[in-house]
Amino acid sequence: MKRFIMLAAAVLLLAGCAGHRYRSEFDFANKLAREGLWQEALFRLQKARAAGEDSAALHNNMAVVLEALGRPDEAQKEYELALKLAPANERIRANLDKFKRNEEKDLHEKK
Amino acid sequence: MRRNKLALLLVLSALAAACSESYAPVTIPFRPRNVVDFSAYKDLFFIDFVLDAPEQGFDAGAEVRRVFVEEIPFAAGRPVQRLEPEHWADILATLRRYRLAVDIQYADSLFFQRVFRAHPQGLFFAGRLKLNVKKMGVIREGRDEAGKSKNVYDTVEMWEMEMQVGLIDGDARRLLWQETYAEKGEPVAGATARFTFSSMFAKLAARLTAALQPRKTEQERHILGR
Repeated sequence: MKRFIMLAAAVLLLAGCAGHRYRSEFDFANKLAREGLWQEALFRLQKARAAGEDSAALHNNMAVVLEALGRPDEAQKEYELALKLAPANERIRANLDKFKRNEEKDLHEKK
Repeated sequence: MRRNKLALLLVLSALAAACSESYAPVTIPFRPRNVVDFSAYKDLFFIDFVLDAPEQGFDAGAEVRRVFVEEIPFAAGRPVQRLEPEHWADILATLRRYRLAVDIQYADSLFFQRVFRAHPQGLFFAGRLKLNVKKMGVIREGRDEAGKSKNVYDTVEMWEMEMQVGLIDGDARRLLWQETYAEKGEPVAGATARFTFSSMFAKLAARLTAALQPRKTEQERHILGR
């Protein structure tokens, strides 16, 4: 029983650490994005993803950063994943709409 | 009782804070994609345009050429060389003399396929320029000797210019991009035909330059906090 409690405590502690790491990398990435340090923000978001759970916010922010870095194909995938996870989120939808308008404009100009 | 209410209020506030979405606006740089990746080509060439224009006593083709060889390189980020395919000058002169309205399909033409083969990894600017100078009757308001206003019949020139320009990938023999720009207007009083032509063509060239070199702008997006 004692061993089981110890094991559970260790699992909870590790899970807690992982969650904390995700939040801090994620928050740091947001700070970097607000300052326009896109490459660094992307690196932090990738670390957050590698360390933790999936979330609509993570995909959305990744998409914004990729868009800022001029990687529209990857950005579109991330926006769509974000919207899949949070279909009612107006911010994500607005971001995706603006992104799509740019893409359509590009396509129109190419034509 | 009061403590209970306070606790409830605190719990509700905490729940509201937890449920509210946090987000922040960020400004991202946005540069529309270039119509063509000029760096992917070894050389950029300009082939003299087909001119469908009345004789005005100056070399309109030379002005078009000057813009493409001297100004477009700033938009493309690369030098643009004039290409003079054999017999092309004679063909252009014939087309212009008889003002033949031809629509040359450069990418499919056997003549140009030979030209493209002779310049591997080349990107080619080609197109046509059409100019119509119409004389139009207008009624202007004037004054008679007594100073009374009266309608006076007058004639004015109306210039209509249209440029169709395309970018052709020589190796693929494919038209990558094509656009048509048009301008019209009256010449400035006393201006020479050359001046009117150059200033009108400069407007078309400015629009072409803007299309070839999309301007970087900024756009707003939202990043989410949770």
